[in-house]
Amino acid sequence: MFGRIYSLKWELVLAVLLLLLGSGPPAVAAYDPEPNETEDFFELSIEELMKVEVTITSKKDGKMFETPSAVYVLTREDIRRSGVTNIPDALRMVPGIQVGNFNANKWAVSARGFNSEFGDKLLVLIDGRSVYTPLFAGVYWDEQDVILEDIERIEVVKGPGGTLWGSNAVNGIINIVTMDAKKTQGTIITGGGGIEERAFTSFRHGLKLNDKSYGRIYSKYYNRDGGIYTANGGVGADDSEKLQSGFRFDWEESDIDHITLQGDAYHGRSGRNSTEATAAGNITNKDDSENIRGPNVLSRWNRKLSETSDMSLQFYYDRSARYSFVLEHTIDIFDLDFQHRFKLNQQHNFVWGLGYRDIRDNTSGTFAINFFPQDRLDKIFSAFVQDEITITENLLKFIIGSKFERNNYTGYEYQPSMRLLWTPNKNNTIWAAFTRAVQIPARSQSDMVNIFSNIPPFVQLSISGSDDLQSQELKAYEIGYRTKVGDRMLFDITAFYNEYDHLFSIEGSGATTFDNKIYAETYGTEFAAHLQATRNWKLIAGYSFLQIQAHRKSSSTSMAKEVEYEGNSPHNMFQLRSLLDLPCGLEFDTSFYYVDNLPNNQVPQYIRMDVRLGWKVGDNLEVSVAVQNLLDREHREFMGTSSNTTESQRVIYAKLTWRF
Amino acid sequence: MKLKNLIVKNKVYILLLILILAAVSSVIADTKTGAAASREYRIKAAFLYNFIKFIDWPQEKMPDNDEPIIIGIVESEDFIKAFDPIKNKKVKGKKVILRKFDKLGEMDENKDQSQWRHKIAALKECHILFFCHFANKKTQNQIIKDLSGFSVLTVGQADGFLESGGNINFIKERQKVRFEINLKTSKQNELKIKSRFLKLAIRVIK
Repeated sequence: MFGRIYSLKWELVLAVLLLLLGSGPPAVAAYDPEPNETEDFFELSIEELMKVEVTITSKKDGKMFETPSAVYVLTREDIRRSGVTNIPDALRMVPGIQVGNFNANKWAVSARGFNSEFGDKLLVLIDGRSVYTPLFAGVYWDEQDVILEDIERIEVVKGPGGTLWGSNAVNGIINIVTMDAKKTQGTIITGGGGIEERAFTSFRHGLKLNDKSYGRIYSKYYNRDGGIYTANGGVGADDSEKLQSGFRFDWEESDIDHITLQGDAYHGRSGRNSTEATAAGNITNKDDSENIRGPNVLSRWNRKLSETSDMSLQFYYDRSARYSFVLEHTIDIFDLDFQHRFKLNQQHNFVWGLGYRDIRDNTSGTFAINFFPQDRLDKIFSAFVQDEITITENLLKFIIGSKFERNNYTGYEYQPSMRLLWTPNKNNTIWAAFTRAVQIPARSQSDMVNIFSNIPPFVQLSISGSDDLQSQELKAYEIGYRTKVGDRMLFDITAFYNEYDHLFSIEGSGATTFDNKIYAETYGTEFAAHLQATRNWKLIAGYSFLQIQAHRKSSSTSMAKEVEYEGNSPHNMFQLRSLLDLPCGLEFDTSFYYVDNLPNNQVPQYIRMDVRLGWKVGDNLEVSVAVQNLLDREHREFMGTSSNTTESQRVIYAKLTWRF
Repeated sequence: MKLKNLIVKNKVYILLLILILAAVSSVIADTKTGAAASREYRIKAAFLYNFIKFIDWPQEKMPDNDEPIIIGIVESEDFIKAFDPIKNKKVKGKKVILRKFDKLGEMDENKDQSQWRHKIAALKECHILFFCHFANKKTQNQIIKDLSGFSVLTVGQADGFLESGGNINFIKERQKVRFEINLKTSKQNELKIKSRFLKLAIRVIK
C-alpha cells in the first residue's frame, strides 16, 4: 500500500521515555471543562441548577463574545453539517480565511493575505501541539487530521497573536481542540465513499477506566482520487491515501489536577507530479509521490492552585517525515511549555510562561533541492507575560503583554500587544488592539538551494536561501465590534490596518536569493452574522474584504515577490450557510462560497456550493449524502509552486455514522 | 474566463431557489426540535425532580409504602427523552415515575364530557404536572381549574401561567432557567412550599 516502510521502533522507545520524564499545557488558554450531553443534572442542587446555562455553546460563546480579538469558532455541529471530510475544507467556513485547494491533497490556507503554498504567517495547533513546519514555514495540511466527530471546536483568531503564541502567529492562529476522553464514551464507526472521495472509514472507541480516568482509541483511513490538470484536462497523479491511529487518556482528580496523555501516528502517500531540473540540464516530468508519516505524543498537566490561580505544564514530541523524489526530510520537535495564571488583586490578572523548543531536522536532497547544512539543530527559548487590568468592573479592561524569544536565525525577538476591551452591556463588545508580531525565517528561506532550470546556454535559474535574513515584521492595528440582537442574532465585525516590514523578497536574476526588501500595508474588514431564523433553521453569513499594497525598497532588483504578495489573495470573499432541521430526523445543509479572482495566479473568481442531506435513523445511526462543488465539474482555486496544479472537482459521497 | 456574468447570475438563482425551498420547509417543520432545546428540558427535568424536595403534599396525597410519586408531562412532543432520567429516582423514600399526556389539546370538554372526566381523573393522580407545549390556552386553563384543590403542583413555562392559576412557572433569564411561584394558588392546592425555596424564586405572588 505504501511505498516505503520505515521502522518506527526507536522513535517509539524515545517517545515513551520522554513521556515518563515530561508532562504538559496548552499554550492555549485553558477553558473550563464544559458540560456534555451525558451530564447528570440530577446530581445538582437547585441552587446549582440555577447556574446552569441552557445552551451548551452559550458559556463558550460568552467567553468568545468578550474576547478582544477577531476570533471565530467552528463547532462540532458546524463541521458535521458542512459535510467536509478534512480540516482545511472546514476552514472555508471561517469568514476571512482563504482556502485554496491546488491539488487533491494540498491546500494553501491564509488569513489577511500573503497566501502561498506554505501560508507562512498562520500558526496552526492541534490540542496545543504546533503543526507549523519549521523547514518550509507553513503547514502540510495532508499531515494534519483528527476524527472529525471528536473535535470539540476549532478556534480561529485572525490577526497577530505572537504575545501568547510566539513567532509565526503573524496573520492568525488556528487552534483545533479535540474533546476530553470523558466526553467521547462509546463507539463511533463511520464509513463511506463516492466520486473523488473513493473510500473513507473511521473507528473510535471510548471507555471509562475508573471514576477518574477515561480513554479513547481511534483509527481512520482515506483514499482520495486525484484532480484534473489545468493544462490538458488529464487526470492528475495527486491521488492520496492515509492511515492514522491514535489515543487520548484523561485523568481528573477532584477539579484540581487534570492530566492528559495523547498521541497519534500516521502513514500515507500524497501523490503529485512535478517538473524538475537535473544536473545534466534536462527538465523531466516526474511522478514524485510523497510518502508521509509521523508519530507524536503529548502530555499535559493542569493544576488548580487556588480559586484564582492555576498552572499547566505541557510536553510534546512530534516527528514528521516526508520522502519524495527530490527531497527527503525528517523533523523532530521537542517542546516544553509552562504557564501560570494568577489574580494579584481585584485589578490585575497575570499570566506568564516559559517555553523551550528543540528542532532537529535531517534532509537528503537532490541536485534540484538541497539544504546546506543538510542537518540542523535549532533551539528556541521563550518567555511571556501578560497582565489583564480591570479598569472598571464588567466594563473596561486593558490587556498588555509581550513575548520574548531567542532563536538561532535572528537572535532575540519581542512581540508586544496592547488590547482594550469595552463591554458596555451583555449584548455589546467593542475592542481595539495594537500588536507587533514577527515571522522568523524558515530553514528553507535560510539554507535551501532550489534549481529550477539548468539548460545550456541559458543561465541556471535558481533560488538560494540567505543566512542574513531578518524576521518579517508586522505592526497591526485592529478594532472590532460584536453585538447580540435578541436571542437569535449575532453580528461580528472587525477592521484592521497592518504595516509589514522586512518582507521576504527575491533579489538578482538567474541565480536569485532571498532578502528582506519589501514592505507593505494591508487593510480590510471581516464580517460575520449568525441568525437563528426559526427553531430549526440557522443561517450564517460571512464577508471579507482585503487590500494589499506591497512596495519594493529602492535597492531591490526583482518584482517577483511584490507581485505574488499583491496577487495571491482575493479582494472579496462571501459565504452563506444554511442549516435546516426537517421533520423525521432529516437535515438539509447548504454552503455557498464566493471567492474573488487571484491576479497573480490567474485564478478566476469562483463559486463553490456544498450540499448535504443527513438522516438520523433512530438514535444510533446517521446516513448522509454530500455534494461538494455542486455547481461546476471542476474549477481552479490556487496555484502551487512545488507541484503541478490540478483543479478541484465535484465530489459526491455517501456516509454512514454508527454510534453505540 | 470560466465564470461569465450570466452563469454567475444563474447560479445565484439556483441558490435563491434552494434558500426559498429551505425557508418554506423550515416554516412547515417549525415545531420540531434541536439539541439545545433538549438540553433545556433536561435541566427543567432536574428542576421538577428537585421541586419534590421543597414541596409538602397533604398526608392523604402522599403515596403509601410502595406507591410512587408521579410526574406528569403534558404535550412533551420530542422532548420526552429529556425527562427519562427522572425514572427510578428516589426522593423522600419514594420512587418517582413519569407519565406522558399527549393530545389533550384536541379535547373539548363540552363535546365529550366522559372522556374529559376520564383524562382529568388521570391528571389528578399526578403530584407534579408540567405543561410542556400546550398550544390551546383555553383548554390548559380549564385543566388547571379542574385540578384546583386536588394537590397537583402545576408547572408551566409560559407568560401568564401563574395568572391563569398555575403554581410554578419557568422563565429563561440570561440563558439560565429561573422560576416564579404563585403562593396563593399553591395554598388553594394545599401545597406547603418551604421558605428556602420561595427565596430562590424571582417573583412570588402572595
